[in-house]
Amino acid sequence: MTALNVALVGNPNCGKTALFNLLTGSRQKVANYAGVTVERKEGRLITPGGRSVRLLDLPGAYSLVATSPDEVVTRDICAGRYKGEPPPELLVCVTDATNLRLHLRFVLEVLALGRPTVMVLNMMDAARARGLVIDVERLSEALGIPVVEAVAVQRTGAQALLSQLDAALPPAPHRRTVDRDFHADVRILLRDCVSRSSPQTEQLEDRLDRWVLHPVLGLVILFTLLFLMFQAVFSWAQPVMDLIDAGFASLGHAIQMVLPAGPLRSLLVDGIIAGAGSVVVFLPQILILFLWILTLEESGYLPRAAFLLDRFMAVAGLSGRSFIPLLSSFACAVPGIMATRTIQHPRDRLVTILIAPLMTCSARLPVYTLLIGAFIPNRNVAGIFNLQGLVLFALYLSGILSAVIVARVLRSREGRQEHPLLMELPAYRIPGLRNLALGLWQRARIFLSRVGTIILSLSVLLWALSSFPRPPAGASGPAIEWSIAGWLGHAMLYVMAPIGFTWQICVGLVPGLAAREVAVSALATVYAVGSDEADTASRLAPLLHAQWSVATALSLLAWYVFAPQCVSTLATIRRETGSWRIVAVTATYLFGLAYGASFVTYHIAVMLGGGLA
Amino acid sequence: MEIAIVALVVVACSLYWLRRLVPASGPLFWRSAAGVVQGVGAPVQVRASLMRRAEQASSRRSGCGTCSKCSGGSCH
Repeated sequence: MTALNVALVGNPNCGKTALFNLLTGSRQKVANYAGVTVERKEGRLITPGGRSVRLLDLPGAYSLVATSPDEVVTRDICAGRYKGEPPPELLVCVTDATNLRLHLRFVLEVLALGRPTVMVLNMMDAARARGLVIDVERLSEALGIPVVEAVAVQRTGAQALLSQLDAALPPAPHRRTVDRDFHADVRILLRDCVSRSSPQTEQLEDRLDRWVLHPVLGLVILFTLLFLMFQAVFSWAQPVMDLIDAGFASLGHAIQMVLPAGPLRSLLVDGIIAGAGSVVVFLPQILILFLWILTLEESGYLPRAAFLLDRFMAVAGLSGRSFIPLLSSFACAVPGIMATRTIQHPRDRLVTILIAPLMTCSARLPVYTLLIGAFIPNRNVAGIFNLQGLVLFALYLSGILSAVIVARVLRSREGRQEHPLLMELPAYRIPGLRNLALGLWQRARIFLSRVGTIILSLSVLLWALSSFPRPPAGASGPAIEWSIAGWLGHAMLYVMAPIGFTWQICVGLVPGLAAREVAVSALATVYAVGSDEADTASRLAPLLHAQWSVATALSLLAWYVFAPQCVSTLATIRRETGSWRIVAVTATYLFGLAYGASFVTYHIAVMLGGGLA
Repeated sequence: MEIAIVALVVVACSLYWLRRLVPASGPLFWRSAAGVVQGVGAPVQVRASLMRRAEQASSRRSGCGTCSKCSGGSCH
């Protein structure tokens, strides 16, 4: 029996993906703002009655008259014009029951397509809490389609929809042209089917918004939140990091006790434990960073931050719509670049793609925290601020400021263009513990699977390149200097010496192109192969402190603020823009910026007396 | 023995990266392995299994390359 083709459609942030996850058991990303889903997702389910359903989750759209690439996908699939995708047999139009004035307009547009449709009134719990009374039967009668209630964030919140999927397909409504005034129809529907059980009063969120969206106070709140986030990354994570550190050091010692000296012991201790172990240690910091990001996402605060920053985005020649993609880039530039599909204006989209790699992704965090921990003293400033947290905040800020400057330069030839920001502010929600735990678990899995695959395999390869060929008999100096890695590092010094890099850093930069955090494991492996100690992974920071000058460390930090040390990001830019030329332009300008910034940083630091190890 | 284990680990990591960087090398590798297996007279099932892997590898579309879930263009 073939599966029933069903598509979930609706305005952005009405809970389509939450419903999709509930029905199919998937774990697609959900958040409390518009534009999280930018491409179609597919899942399967069996209804209680045994019916097989193929479910599509489509990007949110305000109208079927598409204005951005993600809306084009929704329009084409709904109209049965999407290449390689059969027309859906049933459209499930999801609406936010607390905001029917906006969502019913889209329902009417979908009905005009003349395909069998079911309307889902999602977030019914929130609607009831606000005193909204929706006459579901009357609404169903008025629209001529089945209407069911749902609460997609509750485990049993989609029972009515499942029963509807088991029933026979509803008849297709009459196909109509979309040139009529849907707003007038919506007003009539609201008048006939929606009432209030209590008079409308000022909601708590209106009062909150008066503070959060205040032009001055709002910015103070935003910067305080971001500042606290970076302070927390350093101050909360340390005890767990020390524990992981000690675990890997003990493991290294244990292997040294059990295995005799030889290539296998060297591979395990200097390659695998030093390489992968030096990166795993940063897991607590990454999880703390994501705990903040997920909490802000779930609470509904992020679109408000976008609204606040719209004026600043305008300085860069961008609209607040670029904020969410840029914010996603703090986790990883890859989904951030994909999220630019929600930007309607092609030039805005391109500029956002070009500056997204400047946002500090989580893969940079291990590099930053390693160098900050090694070279910046752990002391308080003004009695309350941790100096290391302040430096981390400054690094994030320099990425943002450079992005603003680059965007401004890119837009300077076009003259001033106004793209007014129209954005739906979602309701505030208290973040669900289950969702937060699930989000953190997913981030931990992604990070650990990267350690277990990309980082582990590169550590092994780098160990081989650092260990072979062996030095000739009677050769003097460390053995690693005779290896392929040693040769490569020294060759790169011709270009990198002016910015203060050592040959070991140069060796770390090459595998670091696969993923930024690999640079940490590469440094650990290179130094481990060159030393006799078993606990190089846990002693990497003091080792760097002893061997590098402050100027070199600051230069490397400046390099990592700008350098496109991530092939995946460049591959995504190619896929999203379809142009190798744009990839070349991005890589060239970012490497140019990185080299220039490192050069200036290194020489200023040397002038100020930071050139000695 | 020790050298053999180390060499095996290094070769496995090299193949992993070869597959990531040059996805077309996947089917070629499994077909070659199937040829070798046939040459040494291994059971037919082993060869068939390797050929199936070659088929799977050639039909897999590659995404951005950062994780195993990026086939079909649905990254992250």
